[in-house]
Amino acid sequence: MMDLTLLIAPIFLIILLGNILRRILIVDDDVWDYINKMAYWVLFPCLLFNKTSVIDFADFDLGPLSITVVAGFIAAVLFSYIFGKISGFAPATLTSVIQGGGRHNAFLALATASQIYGEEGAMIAAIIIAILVTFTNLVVNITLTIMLSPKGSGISSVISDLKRNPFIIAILLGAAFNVLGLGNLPILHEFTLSVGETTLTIALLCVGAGLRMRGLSDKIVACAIATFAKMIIFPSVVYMMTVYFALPHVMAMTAMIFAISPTGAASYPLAKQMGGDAPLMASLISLQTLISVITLPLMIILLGSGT
Amino acid sequence: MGNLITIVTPIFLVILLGLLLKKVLIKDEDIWHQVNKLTYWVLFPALLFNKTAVIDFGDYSVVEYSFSTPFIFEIF
Repeated sequence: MMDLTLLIAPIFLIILLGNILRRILIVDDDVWDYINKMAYWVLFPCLLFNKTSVIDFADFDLGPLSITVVAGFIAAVLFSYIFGKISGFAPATLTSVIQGGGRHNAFLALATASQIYGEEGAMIAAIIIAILVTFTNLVVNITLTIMLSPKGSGISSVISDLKRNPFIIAILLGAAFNVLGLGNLPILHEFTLSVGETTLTIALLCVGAGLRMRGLSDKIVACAIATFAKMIIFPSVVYMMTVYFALPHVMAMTAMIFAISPTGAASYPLAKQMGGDAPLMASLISLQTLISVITLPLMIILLGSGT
Repeated sequence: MGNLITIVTPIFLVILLGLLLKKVLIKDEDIWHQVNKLTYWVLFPALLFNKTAVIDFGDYSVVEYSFSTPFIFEIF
């Protein structure tokens, strides 16, 4: 039990290191933006391609797993929307609450899963990313488009955005290579692995560098609703579903790790670009990442020792 | 022999990728400079610490190693 926490402690130390490095070594935020861009467009897609190209899909029961994570996501988004509406938030604020309640940090989740459950954890994490990233992007983009641009003209741009999503492209390519039996192509496999393996360190450093404690948004109710949806509703629903479907332990735990992982950094540029409440979004990312230092290990200690 | 090629080629492909990225994604020389700084001051030292902290020095003839070390540094 203690072992599990020891295993994920390094992840949080890397995040802390990123924050320190931003203060003393790389103080220019632009540089972190570029490093993040590289992780987003190149490193992580290489990792996802690498994993999905050799995954044995027959080993995993994809239906129940998909329903589980999607149900948790929908519950969290609905909760955020309903309570946001009740609190009378403006559309811009409401969209950031929805993003804060429903999105996940794929880097952090995959790092945690593979740290604890090794290759199997990483494989399942890649599958969950394929499901959840597609679904999250669809729902969030459509919601933001409808709520922030009344004409609803952006639906076609949502689809083209999705087609350009590097995670989805990488996963589809990986799956195609997998189906064609080309998953283990000698040089390509090693190449994508050695590039991909750097992702987690780099991305976690970026998560740390992005943490901002100054100027936390004063929208306490909005922060509370989004964080409750993310840390309580999402994991609770996912937990109930894993019990209902009696998912295998590692699969259930990996789904839980995604459920409780703090909202993703990609929500910020989206909020900014589409006219959401960007400062609130930035606060939610920092706040939830800090909270996850406690909630993530806690969840793993509580549930991780089961069989 | 074939095995060595599959191991070594990816390394050069990563270097090639770096060149490509500089042309299309991160064009600013200064950014690479900063990333280099990160490797030099943090990432590589962490690796060196990690390896030397658990190495069993009794297993190796340090003198022989010293001869090969300059070669390692040529790469960097």
